[in-house]
Amino acid sequence: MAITINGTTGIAGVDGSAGTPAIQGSDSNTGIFFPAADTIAFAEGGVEAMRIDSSGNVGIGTSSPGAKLDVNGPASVTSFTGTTRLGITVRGSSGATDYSGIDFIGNNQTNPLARIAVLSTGGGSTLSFGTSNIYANGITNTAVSIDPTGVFAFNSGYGSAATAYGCRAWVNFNGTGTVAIRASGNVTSITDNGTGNYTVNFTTAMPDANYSTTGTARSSGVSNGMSLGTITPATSSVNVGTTSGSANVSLDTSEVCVAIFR
Amino acid sequence: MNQQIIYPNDEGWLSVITPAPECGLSIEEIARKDVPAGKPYHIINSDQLPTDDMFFNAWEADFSNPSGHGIGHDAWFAEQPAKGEV
Repeated sequence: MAITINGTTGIAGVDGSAGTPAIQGSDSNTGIFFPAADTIAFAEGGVEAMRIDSSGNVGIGTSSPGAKLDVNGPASVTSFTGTTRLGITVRGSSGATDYSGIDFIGNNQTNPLARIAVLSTGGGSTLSFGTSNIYANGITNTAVSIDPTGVFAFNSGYGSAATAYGCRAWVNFNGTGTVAIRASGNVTSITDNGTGNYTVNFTTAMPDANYSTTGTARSSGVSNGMSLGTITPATSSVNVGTTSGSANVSLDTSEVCVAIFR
Repeated sequence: MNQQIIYPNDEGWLSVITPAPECGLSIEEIARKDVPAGKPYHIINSDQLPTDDMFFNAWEADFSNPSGHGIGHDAWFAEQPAKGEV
């Protein structure tokens, strides 16, 4: 039998708890309860599932939300890849050509100013980041995109987004005397093989040996310049040599900079 | 004290390996990786190397009781299946 309530108060007087909500259906441990002043909570199976606190913050899986929406994701998600979902899922509509994502809008505005969105492409997905250069037109630029194979493209401000090619290893070292490495990335060590002959050993291997080695060699005491050449490229290391510019004689060099692009 | 790795190269003199401070590997691990497979190596303090490297190609060392032997890049990377390629 349905209950009809008249008047301005409605149902009042019982706060309830997660185990025995104040407002229940036929399931006595599922419903709405009022755990504190100005606070509404929702229980499922005797356990709090969601609440709106006195600040208007919504907590899902947490009883102390720290933002307008605070979601406590599933436990024990230790792998980034896979099918297990994290705390929030943004679902697109049914069409494979429809984007799903999140828009960012300024206060009291209606058009999006920035966007993170995913488009289903065949069996995979392309993730895009967009910005706006004219508020009235909403999103105007695909600033960054990452395709299903992980290829990263970005718009440097000129034209459309183009594939970005990364510096996969770099090092700056003093090759005179005992080699001293000033700074490096993806390099485990430098092997000094003899005068003006160094091997740069990579921490993580290159996909192949068809990369581009660039760099400079300089010694303050050498007036006729130095040059850097690649002797042997390999996936795990690159052998480089430094020579005196005019005489083309191998020479140790105080400032050697090597960068690997692929 | 900085440390270096030395090993006898195929040219008949020593190669000297300087570890990259930011690489995150121990010097022992760098030696296993960057010393060619089967080559003996020593881990030494930097001040054990001659200060004048003019005769670098004449440097010699006794490897009859080495710190270890390198396994080389290929074997080392094969031990790191999770890292893959950059």
